[in-house]
Amino acid sequence: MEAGLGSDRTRRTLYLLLAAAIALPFFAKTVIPPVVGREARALYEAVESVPPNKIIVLSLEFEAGTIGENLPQTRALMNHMMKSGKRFAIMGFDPMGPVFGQREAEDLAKRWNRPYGKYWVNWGYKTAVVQTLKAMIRDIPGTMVTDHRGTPLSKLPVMDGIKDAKDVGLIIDVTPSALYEAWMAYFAGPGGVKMGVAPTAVMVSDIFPYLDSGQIVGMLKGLAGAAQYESLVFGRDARERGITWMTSVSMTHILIIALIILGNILEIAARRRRTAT
Amino acid sequence: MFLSFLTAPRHGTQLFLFVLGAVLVFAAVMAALHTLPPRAKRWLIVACTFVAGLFYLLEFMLPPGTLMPPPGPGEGPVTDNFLSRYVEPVGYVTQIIAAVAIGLGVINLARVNSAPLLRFRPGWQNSLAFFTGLIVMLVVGLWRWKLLLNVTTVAQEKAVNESTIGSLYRFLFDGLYSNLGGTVFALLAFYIVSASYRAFRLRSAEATLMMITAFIVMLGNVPVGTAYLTGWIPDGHWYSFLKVEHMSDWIMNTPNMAAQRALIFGIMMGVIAVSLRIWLSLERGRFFEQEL
Amino acid sequence: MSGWTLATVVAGAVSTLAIFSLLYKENPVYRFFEYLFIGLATGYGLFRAWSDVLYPRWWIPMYQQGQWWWMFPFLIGLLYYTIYIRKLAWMSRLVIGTLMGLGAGASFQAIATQYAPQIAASFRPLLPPNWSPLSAVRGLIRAAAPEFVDRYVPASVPNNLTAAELVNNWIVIIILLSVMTYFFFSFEHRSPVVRGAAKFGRWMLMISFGAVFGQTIMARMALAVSRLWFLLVDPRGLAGPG
Repeated sequence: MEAGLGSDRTRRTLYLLLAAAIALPFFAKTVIPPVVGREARALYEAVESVPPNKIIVLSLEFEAGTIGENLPQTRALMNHMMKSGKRFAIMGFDPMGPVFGQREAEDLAKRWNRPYGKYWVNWGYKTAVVQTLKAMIRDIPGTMVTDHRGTPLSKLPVMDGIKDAKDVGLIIDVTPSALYEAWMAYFAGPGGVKMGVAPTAVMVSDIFPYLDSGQIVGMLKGLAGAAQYESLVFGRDARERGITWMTSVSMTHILIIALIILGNILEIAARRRRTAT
Repeated sequence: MFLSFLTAPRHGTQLFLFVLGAVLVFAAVMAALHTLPPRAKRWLIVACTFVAGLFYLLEFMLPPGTLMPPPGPGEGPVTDNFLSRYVEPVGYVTQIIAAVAIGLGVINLARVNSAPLLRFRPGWQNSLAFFTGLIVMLVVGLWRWKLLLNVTTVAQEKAVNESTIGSLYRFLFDGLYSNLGGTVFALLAFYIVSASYRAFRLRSAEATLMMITAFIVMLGNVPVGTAYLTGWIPDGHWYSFLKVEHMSDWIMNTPNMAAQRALIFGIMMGVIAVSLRIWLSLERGRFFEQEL
Repeated sequence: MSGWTLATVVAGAVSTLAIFSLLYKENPVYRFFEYLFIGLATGYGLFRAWSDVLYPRWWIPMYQQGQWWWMFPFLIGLLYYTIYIRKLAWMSRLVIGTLMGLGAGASFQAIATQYAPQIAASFRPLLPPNWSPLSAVRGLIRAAAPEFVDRYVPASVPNNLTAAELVNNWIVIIILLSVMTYFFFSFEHRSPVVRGAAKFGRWMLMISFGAVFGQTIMARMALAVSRLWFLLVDPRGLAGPG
């Protein structure tokens, strides 16, 4: 039911309202610290508890379409791992994920002084998900062979002592798809490796049964999870990307709730007018 | 001895001859199989499907040590069965086959876009954009990759990235591809706003329950909700559950979790049924019942 | 800012605005950039398939290490393309069937490692472990057959289940069973108990869908925020070093 304005004008007005709701907080520079949820805290503690002789596998499955959520999550996790000096490996079953991860890691490596090959490595893009994961349980260097530049993994100090699933302390899957299920079914479950997930918010509801059963130890709920993780790593006064963007997301949520309520009020009013006449 | 002759690595002309031999042998085998009657071909497909599925099933289900030599003195317990050592090679073979298959999608897209371009039908400029994007990205990507193959230091890598090809690649990838991909998905946000005002109507009690739950979850996710709406309620009291983040947390961890788990059980039954049908070639439909 | 960097940033802004122009109305500029995106994505996928998979997994072992037998997987992959030749199309079904068989076989493992723990996790305590009637029954059974029972019934069970957890466990079990009842389509819901349970399950599904909707809103908005951040605040930053 339209209320007064023509259809195209209403639509464009709504789009402008959304753009304003997003853009105004950028320039007001208002940032509201998030409340840290238990899923993000559990993932933080899982990363903290990884011992120095084990590696964290960061599987990046996202493309440019979900950069808005998955990139801040990746950055928050990498900040934590580099700050704590944890060894980690980037890989992905999507071609773009490891590329974005490499860039973020190179940028953060300068901040935390964690050179490539010594603290972190990029195993690159892999296909044939099931077969790769099953092969990785027994032999990680043999399955990966080289890093994304073609350097044999045996030449990289970060891979010292990393042979099979027992040497992986944690897997974190940053994904907009259900690939975390493959990790759970073919690597984390059979290999007895702890697993965390950083999905886009669309998939968050589906993952709660796995959190309850303990198959997944922690989760970053989309951009909100990234913001919460940043506040754990840097403190409540942090001004990282996730926390900054969440203020704009907050305004859009208020806008949508207001529009739903307004739309329903106007419909009820229109219906009453029709009944009266 | 014949096996060691076959599996010895070859180089130069010998490699070329062995690869050519492999092609000829493969072609001969496929030609011989092609002469089989349709019924035999169908059984061959069924047999290949069954054996392929049986491999992973047995590899998972057989106990460790099945058909394996006992551990030697000082060795730990055997953790694999006789099929486990083939998992990696099967993985490599599948990766190669899957990568070769990517051309199918390209051929399809090319066929769809070549007709408007060759006949100058309306929209031919769009087809030209498709082919231009495809060819330029492929050529520039491969060229840059070739340059990076010979790189051994970070300085050399930086030089490649700052060369003309590296800059052009960055123009295509960061300037065009990433931004186009991100923006296509971002359109959805605007459609949701439009739908919120024009389409989301609470016409039943169930829809109202769904919307109330959505409001609580939305407000529990964002700092504005947690800080300003219920941030004034102190923690540690019996009424602290009224804080929007606690209510959202409970909704996600209790009713939502239970309902999603019930959905998972349904999916599990579906996976078992479909997997069995595919493995035993019981699946029906246009593709599976095609003439051979 | 170098010429190439400026061109990259400008290209990013132009392509973003071109796609956003669809919000005003359908137009040829949007169509052009949409087709360009598909072409770029296809080209990118092709060269990555070569550089990340075929080159290290097939070309190097075969050409540089002399392992000529790697030609066979490549030839098997080429069988996919017989789908375009009517007479030879059955060969593509051979390789499709084999790969589907591999996937089906692997999925049985997924049932055991991914779904089975969900069944185990559904069995939650519905009564407090140290509830006196339960303890009394436990004591009576142990009095009858002590050695046998001690193996299966602990002498004392830690009481670490709070009232809230107990209530939540009941809620979870009731919702789980009622939603499962709703999805039983293979028999008619005649009994009022079954019908009531299915109806309650539908209501609980509404709560779950509301939760999904709430989360989806955040996902979509985050994507729009990132695009506007690129346009208005940090054009250099988004797809490169932050």
